Amino acid sequence: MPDSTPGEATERVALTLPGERRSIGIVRLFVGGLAARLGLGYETMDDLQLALESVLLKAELRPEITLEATIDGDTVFLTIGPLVRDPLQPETAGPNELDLGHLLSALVARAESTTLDDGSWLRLDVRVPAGSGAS
Amino acid sequence: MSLSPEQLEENELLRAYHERGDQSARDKLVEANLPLARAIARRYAGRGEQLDDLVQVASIGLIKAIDRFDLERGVFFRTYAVPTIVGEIKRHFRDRAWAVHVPRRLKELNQMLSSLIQDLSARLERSPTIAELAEAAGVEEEEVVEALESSRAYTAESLMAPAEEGSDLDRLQTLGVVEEAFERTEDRQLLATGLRALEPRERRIIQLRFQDGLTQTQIANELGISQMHVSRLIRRALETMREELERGGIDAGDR
Repeated sequence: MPDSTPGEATERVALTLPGERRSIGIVRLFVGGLAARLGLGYETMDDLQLALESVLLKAELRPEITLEATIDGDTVFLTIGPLVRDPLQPETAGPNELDLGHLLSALVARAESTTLDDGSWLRLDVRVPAGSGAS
Repeated sequence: MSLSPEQLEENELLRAYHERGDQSARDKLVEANLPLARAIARRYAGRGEQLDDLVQVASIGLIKAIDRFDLERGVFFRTYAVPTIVGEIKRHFRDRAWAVHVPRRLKELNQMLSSLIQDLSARLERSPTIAELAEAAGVEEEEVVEALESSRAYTAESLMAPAEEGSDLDRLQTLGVVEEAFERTEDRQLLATGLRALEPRERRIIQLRFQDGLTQTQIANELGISQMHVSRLIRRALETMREELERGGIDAGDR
């Protein structure tokens, strides 16, 4: 998904990997590196790792997925996809069940999905604290 | 079968839970049998797993035993619960068999980071950054990320190694056998939701984090445990819920 405009001020890092549960370790390291680069607190990093782990475990993945981090001022936009279907659609779950949307709402500032030709893409927004390493 | 007053009371609680859906009866059964779960967990400590983690696994086994016990079978609850708990621990060891070897320096750094996160969180009144942890530990930031990641990998000693020095039995053989009769009662009951599969403390943590919106640090303070431990418990609880729901889906599909 999102195309970057050449010369734009934002910074972007993208990782393409197999759409399998075993990619979780790589995704965690990617987030760890991002947290070190941006000066995110340990807890924010851990929440973000859990958010992406939950996406990998609960969403139906295409054989190859891309995880992209776009740093724009005080916000990091993480997009992951393509996914077979929109993972934020309410599941056929009981009232006590934690669906992905519910989980993500507690773990990141905002979670939003978009459906494109190649599938659904999920965007997770994370606020970077003032005075951190992000510039 | 002659029953003691305790066993009669236990049967009454099991009947109240299974026949009338009395959740408080279920909670009482869990509470009354937690010492049994802890005792079984202690038998498997020192084999590369933290006792606290094994107690969690044993507690899940206990809850499964309560949920799946069939009063009509005419056996004592504990006769059914012990192999169910042991089976859960055995499965836990098997599930961890893929674990990679974590170098000693990373294990030690991970332990150091666990206490540094607590100390720095208290001092800074916020969660420390990777750079702050690296500076406090005297290591590079990459090492901090690596050590934190290593905490997700479990060290699993070979289950084929002798259980004790000079013993003919390997560790797998000593982990207990689930009797066939008990296996038949497995997966009989479809749980309404994965939340019911959780041990009370895990359920409380999930509620605090995802319903009440408390942060890991706030939960850690409320429960008197470390933030890293809260993180581990959240993941374990979510995994348990996912497993239970998947199991429920399979059962439902079979009907």
